[in-house]
Amino acid sequence: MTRVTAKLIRQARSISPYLPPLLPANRSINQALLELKWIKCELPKNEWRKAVNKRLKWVPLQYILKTQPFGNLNILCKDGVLIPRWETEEWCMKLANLIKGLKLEKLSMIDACTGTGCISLLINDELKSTATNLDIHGFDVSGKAYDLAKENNEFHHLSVNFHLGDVFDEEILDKLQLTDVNLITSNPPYIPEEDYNKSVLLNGVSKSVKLHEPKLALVGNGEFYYNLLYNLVFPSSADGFVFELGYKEQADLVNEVAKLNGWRVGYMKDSAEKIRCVLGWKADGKFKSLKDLCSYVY
Amino acid sequence: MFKRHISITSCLYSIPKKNKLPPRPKWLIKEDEIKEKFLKGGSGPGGQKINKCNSKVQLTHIPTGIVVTCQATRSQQQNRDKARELLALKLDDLYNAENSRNNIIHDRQLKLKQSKAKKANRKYKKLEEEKDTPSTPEEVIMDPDQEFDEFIKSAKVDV
Ligand SMILES: C[S@@+](CC[C@H](N)C(=O)[O-])C[C@H]1O[C@@H](n2cnc3c(N)ncnc32)[C@H](O)[C@@H]1O
Repeated sequence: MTRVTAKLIRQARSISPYLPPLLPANRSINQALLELKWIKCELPKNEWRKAVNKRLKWVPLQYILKTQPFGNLNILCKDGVLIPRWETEEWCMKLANLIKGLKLEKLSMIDACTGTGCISLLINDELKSTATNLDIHGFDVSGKAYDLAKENNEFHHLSVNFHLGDVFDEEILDKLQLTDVNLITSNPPYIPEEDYNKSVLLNGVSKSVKLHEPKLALVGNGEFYYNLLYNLVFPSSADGFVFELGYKEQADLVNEVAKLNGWRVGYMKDSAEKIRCVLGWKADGKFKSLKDLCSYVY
Repeated sequence: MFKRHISITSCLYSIPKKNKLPPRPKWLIKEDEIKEKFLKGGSGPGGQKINKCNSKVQLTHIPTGIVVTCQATRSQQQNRDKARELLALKLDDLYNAENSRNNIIHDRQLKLKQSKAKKANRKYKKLEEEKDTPSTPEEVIMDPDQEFDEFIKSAKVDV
């Protein structure tokens, strides 16, 4: 990482007066130039100054530009709702392709902790032109997330049903009136409190995330996976699940609990070689090919 | 007067029209001959802990070893497409040398420049003749991609 030195700032200023405020969040002239290019492409000229000054305060670029590309979608982003990550986009595209290949008659899916709605919306978009009948739902406990997910659904002309709901609610499935479900996805908050308070160099959280993204969307651990299984997976007729995670211990926990209930479990790494998802399927169920996405099967 | 007229047309004649350029040689890309990698930079924890907005795509063409990368847009899907275009142009350069799209474009730009220079010369002469006409400076509008390339060229910093 390059340090932001006086020399670097002078160099930046000689290229463009908008460039120096972008240095702290970007660390290098080339990265800063790339961001400036996007700011200039996507915002009118009279907003450039304000945009780079926000970036100086570590506001995520996605909140400034108001979108994050996600597969073929351009997900609307707003303060108070977590920005979709590339890792999520990656596994979601793999899952969508796998589902396409299954040629299901019907896909009934619930995406818990849906945030912007990105996961359910991408699956909806990727499958809308196939013969599969779609009944896709997403829920979140945050009102801001719920509003934004609905806005994203309209913006992309898709047909996901969004609800307000709590993973820890034992009656969530009845309340949503969804019992005929075959797939459950979720990217729940998975950063343990002690790591949330550490610097990114010590496996903690980056400055921009900590300062500007909602803690409600980030801090969590085993209790989320436990409740996803007991309140959604086991009481429904689901025969597949995919949960994003950040730690091997979380995958181990899911395996321990799910295998006792007759599930096969494996995990998947992302293209940065980090453990990223835990996947579950029934040995003779519709989603047994989830196994093919796994880098390890328990 | 007559002479000059001829020289303009003959000069313009050899410059291919923009829409008459060879097509982008996309057919040179065979998916089973390329290795695709997503470069996210750094070895940080990833996932919810970081909110990166760049998504660099790297393609390696296995038969020739040519490597191209693209991080021009914020969309991974678009960067994948653009990287394939770039690779196709490089392969075209390799296989078609003289007649590659790149070469023809380069040639065209050179010729355009020359013809502009000639015109400018004539304009200058004309201005000399009728000195009292005030000239308005032309505003140069660059498209953002081009502007970015200019930035990079003029930046001259190693980071
Ligand atoms: C890591 S974010 C994921 C958002 C989105 N699915 C994505 O991948 O970008 C976690 C989400 O869980 C929501 N959440 C937190 N606690 C919850 C709970 N008890 N029940 C339901 N959702 C919850 C947060 O509001 C946040 O939107």
